[in-house]
Amino acid sequence: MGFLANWRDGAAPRFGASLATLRLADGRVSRARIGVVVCGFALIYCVIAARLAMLGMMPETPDKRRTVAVDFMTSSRPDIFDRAGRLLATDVESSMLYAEPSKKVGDVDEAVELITAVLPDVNATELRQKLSSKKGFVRIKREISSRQQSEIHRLGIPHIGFMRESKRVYPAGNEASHVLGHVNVDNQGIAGLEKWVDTGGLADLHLAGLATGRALEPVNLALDLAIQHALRDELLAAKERYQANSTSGMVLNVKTGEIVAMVSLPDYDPNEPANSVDPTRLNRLTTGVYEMGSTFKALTVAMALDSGKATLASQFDARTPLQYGQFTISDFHAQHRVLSVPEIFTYSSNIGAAKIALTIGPEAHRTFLKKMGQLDRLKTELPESAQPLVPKTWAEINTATIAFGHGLSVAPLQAVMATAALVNGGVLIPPTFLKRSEAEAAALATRVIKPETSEKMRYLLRLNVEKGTAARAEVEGYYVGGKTGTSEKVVRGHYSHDKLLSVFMGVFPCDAPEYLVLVMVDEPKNSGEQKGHATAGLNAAPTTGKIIARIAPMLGVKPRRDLPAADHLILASRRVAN
Amino acid sequence: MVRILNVVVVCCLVIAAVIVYEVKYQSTYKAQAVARLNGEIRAEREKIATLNAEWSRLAAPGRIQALAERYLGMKALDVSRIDDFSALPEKPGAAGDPLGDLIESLPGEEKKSRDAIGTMLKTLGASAAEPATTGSAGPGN
Repeated sequence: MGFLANWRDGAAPRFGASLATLRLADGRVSRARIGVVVCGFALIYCVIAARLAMLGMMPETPDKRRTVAVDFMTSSRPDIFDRAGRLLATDVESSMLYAEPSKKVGDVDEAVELITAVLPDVNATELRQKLSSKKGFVRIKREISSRQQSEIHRLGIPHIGFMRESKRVYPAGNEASHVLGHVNVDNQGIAGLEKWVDTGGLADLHLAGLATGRALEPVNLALDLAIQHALRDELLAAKERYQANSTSGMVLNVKTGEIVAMVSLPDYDPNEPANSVDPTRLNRLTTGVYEMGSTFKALTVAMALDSGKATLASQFDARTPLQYGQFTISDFHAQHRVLSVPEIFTYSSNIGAAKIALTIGPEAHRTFLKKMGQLDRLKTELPESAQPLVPKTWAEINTATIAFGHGLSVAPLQAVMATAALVNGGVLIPPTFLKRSEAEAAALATRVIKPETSEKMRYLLRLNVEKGTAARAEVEGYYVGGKTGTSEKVVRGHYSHDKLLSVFMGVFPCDAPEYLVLVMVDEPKNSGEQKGHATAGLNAAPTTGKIIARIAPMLGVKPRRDLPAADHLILASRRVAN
Repeated sequence: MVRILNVVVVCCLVIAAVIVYEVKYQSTYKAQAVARLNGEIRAEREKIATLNAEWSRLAAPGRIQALAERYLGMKALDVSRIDDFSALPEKPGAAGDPLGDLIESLPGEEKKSRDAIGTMLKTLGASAAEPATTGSAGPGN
């Protein structure tokens, strides 16, 4: 500013001739004009400085100078890990060759010849059609190796290029196929947890073109790959041994509702999802509904004990079969005498179970099963779920048959959830495939039966292994309890005598249950020991025993020696507590 | 006075121009370096993902079991082989330990050396209150 001051004082600065002439013409006017010009420039510089400051303050924007189309197709998905941090699903990058026929590829025949020379497995006629079309974008081949990529690059064909794209990989192959599900060619989840991941907002991100980085939060499952493998291995062996159509099973943490393993055989390789459409390969545990047979007796007995209308000492007459019109309820292991509640449970008496349920009545029975979640579709993270088949009218006969697991078809996962509630102290916890702590589970749980009833159920389940139909499920040191169930499958509207579904629900350790193991053997043809018999006690129960012996040490459950019988360990401790 | 000032201003201008030029090219160069590094990071991440997938495939329990069955001849762990330190029997008392007495009677032998194994077991018992759970990749039966 000093030199402006000089001006005003009239100390004539010897500028160029123009300034001098201005000053000569009219000193004051020219000075004012110069002042205006100086102010104008100062203002412009101020604006520039302010703009610079603004630019400097702005947060860094991501690099916009991306080459066109490179990230066009790469929609990433989050990695999926099991509970121990083992990788179950991830994205691997690969290159894809594409062309833009609308921009003139040049000589189509020459291009086809050159490309098929480098990529012999590309169909020449198909390629010619693609290149002759007027489309803006056609895919020529996925998964191009870097060597092929450089060869094609050297061919110098105009308007073809490479694009990086993500390919979903399942390193464990078949191991957890039904839980994980799979993706389609555009890397969008179309089954299992992959679909669930997409419905959680990822699909929208894909549409907006945002989900391209690796920054997505990984998904941590409750599944344990080691347990999953052991379960699958044993079920494969059982399928072979009993020549069954299908075997399936799951392991549930009864305190948290976490599904630690879930297998339904036959399964498929999610890396090649084409096989998944085969209807025999569906996940029987969630998408199938079955009459769960005698395993339902546990619910019936629990209901009666909880209502107070029956005690462990109550007697029920099981001497003669029950007659409903032309329908007769009889026993497989018939005793022809008056049975107590534990006897009904361990001999798996249909007549006894029906009579127990009839003391409660159809209305209360229905309400109880509704409370246990057996009459509504069970929703988990898996998008595949089946609606239970509930009778339209619920008369006495329905109650009588549902009491021993016929006449109501539920998804096995549903039945597992209810059985877990019977032994975990009486709270129903919705099952989940994601990690959950006991505190989180407690917040979601609803009390369905009294803790005392739960304790009595533990006793009955253990007693059934000590003296009843489930003897072959015993594993030394793990105090297994369980209930067998053999149901006749409905074939063309009638119960078939040779097509059976064997189910076993095993709980261990039964005095303080931690895990529940379900095994289902669909249409076993060979019991392995006795020809002609294919009841659950001979196939599903021993399979469960083998599974528990194998997985319990991995799950960190300690074996204990010389445990007393159930009436001492479970019932006696309760009397002391009262 | 004004002339000096003008010279100074012109010099400042030239210097400023040089600095701005330098800064601009530096920033372009840095931006390129950043882009290159980002590309490298991305490529490395992709490689890590590929290797992770490969490792998971190689370490998949099904594959390990097949290999173990073929080459190792291992058996599935029997539950009866798992036990607690607390289930171990008490170590025999001092009496009726002829070898120990013999060592004690030796001249110059410290008394505490005799109980070395006992103390070791005790410390082990304390530190291993939780028994190590042993998973097994061996064949199922």
